[in-house]
Amino acid sequence: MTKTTGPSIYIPTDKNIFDALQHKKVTQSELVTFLRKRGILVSNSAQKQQLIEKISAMTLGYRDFEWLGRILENPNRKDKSTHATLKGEIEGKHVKSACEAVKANLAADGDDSVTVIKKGNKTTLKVTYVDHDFTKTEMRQRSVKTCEIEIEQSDNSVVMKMPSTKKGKEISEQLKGALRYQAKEESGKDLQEHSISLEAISDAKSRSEFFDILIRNIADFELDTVTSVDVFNFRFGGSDEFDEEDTEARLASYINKAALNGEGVLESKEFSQLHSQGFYIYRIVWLANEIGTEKPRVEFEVQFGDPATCTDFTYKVRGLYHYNSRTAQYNVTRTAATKLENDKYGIYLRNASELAHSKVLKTLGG
Amino acid sequence: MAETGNIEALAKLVSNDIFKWFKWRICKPCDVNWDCVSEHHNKNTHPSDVVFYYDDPYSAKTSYINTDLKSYAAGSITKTGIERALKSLAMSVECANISESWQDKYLLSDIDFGSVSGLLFVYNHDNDYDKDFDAELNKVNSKEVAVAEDNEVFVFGPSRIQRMCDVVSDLKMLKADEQMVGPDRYTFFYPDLIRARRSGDEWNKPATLESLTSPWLIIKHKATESLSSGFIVYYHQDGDTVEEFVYLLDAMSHYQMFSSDYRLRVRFTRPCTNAITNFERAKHEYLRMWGDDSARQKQMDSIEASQITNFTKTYNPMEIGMRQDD
Repeated sequence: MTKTTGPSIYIPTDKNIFDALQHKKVTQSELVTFLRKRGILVSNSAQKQQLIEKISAMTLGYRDFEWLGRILENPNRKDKSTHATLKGEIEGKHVKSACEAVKANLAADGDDSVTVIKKGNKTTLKVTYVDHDFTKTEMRQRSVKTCEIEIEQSDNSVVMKMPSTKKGKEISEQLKGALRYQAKEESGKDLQEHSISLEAISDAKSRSEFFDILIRNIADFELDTVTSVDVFNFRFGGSDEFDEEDTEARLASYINKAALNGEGVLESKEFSQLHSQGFYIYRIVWLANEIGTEKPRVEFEVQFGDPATCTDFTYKVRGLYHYNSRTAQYNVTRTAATKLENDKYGIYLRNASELAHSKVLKTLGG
Repeated sequence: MAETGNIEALAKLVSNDIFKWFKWRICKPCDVNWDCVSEHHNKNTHPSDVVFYYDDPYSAKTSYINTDLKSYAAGSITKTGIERALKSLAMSVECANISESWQDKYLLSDIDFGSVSGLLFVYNHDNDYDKDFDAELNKVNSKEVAVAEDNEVFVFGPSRIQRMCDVVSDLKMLKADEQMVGPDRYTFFYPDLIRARRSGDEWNKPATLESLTSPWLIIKHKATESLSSGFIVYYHQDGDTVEEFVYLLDAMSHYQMFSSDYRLRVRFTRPCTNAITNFERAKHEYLRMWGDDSARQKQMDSIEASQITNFTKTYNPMEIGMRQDD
């Protein structure tokens, strides 16, 4: 069996430890405490660098290794979500056996561990894997992550919700492949994949329109303000344009991407200027207030990962500003969404984007 | 202050029973007072029960260990008592590093003088090994103790001392069975690090203060007629996970222990009931990770894992507590 990622447990060298301890997340007092637990007392004002020299030369056991791993762990940065819809005759048993196929496949060639849980019409495939980032210092290269793919079944379609990560893409592709195979075996028909994309629309105005509809149609929410917009100009960004030599000469200087931050960005004259020059929105961040008493203000973000084609659609709940009944205002600091909130608002985002997508396509189609 | 004349005898016992086996040597004289040189201590002299020394395997400098021997009854180990002892020791260590009077008495040579560390050596003089020592030590206010910058004070409580005694008695028993050699033919093992190289040849290295606080202790021994050369790893954690042993095996591989025909023994000092099973599982896991070719399989099979026999219940160098602190 060959592997590209290596084993999941290995002993770090003193140099690895030395480098890892330099990180600002490892505080001087953390190091003093570490030594104290071993029965070594040092000055409270000992220099961090000196403590690092000392500890990195000591023998560290597995529990020490875990301790360090815990300190350096990335606080679970919320990955963006995306979804895909498969249309066709799909039965519960197809979903089940597709999940089993993916599970067997992943278990066969790696350390990934997979669980499949079915609840009602929803099946969750949860993959725990070790993510590597070789641009970081040795001890921070590995992190254990999970990737959850939710498969929601309804009449004649399944919706697959997944994180917009490399792993999410890899697994969902496998899952789609397995589902297509299952359905084809059974009914002889191909499944149609549907995902949000504005590739078919070349008009900049309609592309922006999609976002405008989306942000105004989040169920139970009232739009507050748009805080950030990223725009892209297809005319300059598209590679075809540059095939003609004279065009290239004429466009010696050009801007094809711009980010606008502030309040009420869509109403600003800068935005309308860019808009009139053929720039369209491909990423938007906005605040919306949940309707009802003492409900929070929520910050959302949606974007097309590929701005030129408007494909690779992702969305994310950036956080919540809770309502403070004492001051009768929203809190100033943002808190991260809990899993429950994330799931709830994620569905709103998904529905609003589907709605905006079909509206834009409809107006275009006449 | 020098308390009773018995301290010298006690120091010799502790040295013979324990530290000789870890290759620490004792500096004459025991149990003396020397001049305080720090005005903020408000003292005239500091005491030294016993001073040990060894050559640090990495820096090659001589480390001195200014030791305070304390005996407590099991129930009388209190935060206040530990705090008071540590406070006094921290001051002694601060002065010892700069006091001419201390250096005149103990320093073997000005050349290669490393530093003076403190060691609070706390054992029980009755039969109830006190489990609460670490908890009491944790309560000690580090502001009260005030270890000076660049100084270090080590604390060996009843359980660590017990563990050291267990290792010594295991070595003695193995030696009686001709399964181990005496201190002159073994060394504590220090791998070359990336940021530090072991000084001199690999033999005759002491167990440093740091290595005695580590999760495991490695001894390398020479061959005899009835014993091939090899390593003994004393493993101090309870071994309730497979992962910790995969980690240990990786460490052993890293230290090149598998590369020759060494005899490899892993001896558990205080294992949980599953430790040995977990260790065997870790071998399988390790083979699975790296591919189980026959050579590696043979290496794994040759590792002997067993638990040491804990004969002694508690370390009590002299039957009657000579120096009872509350």
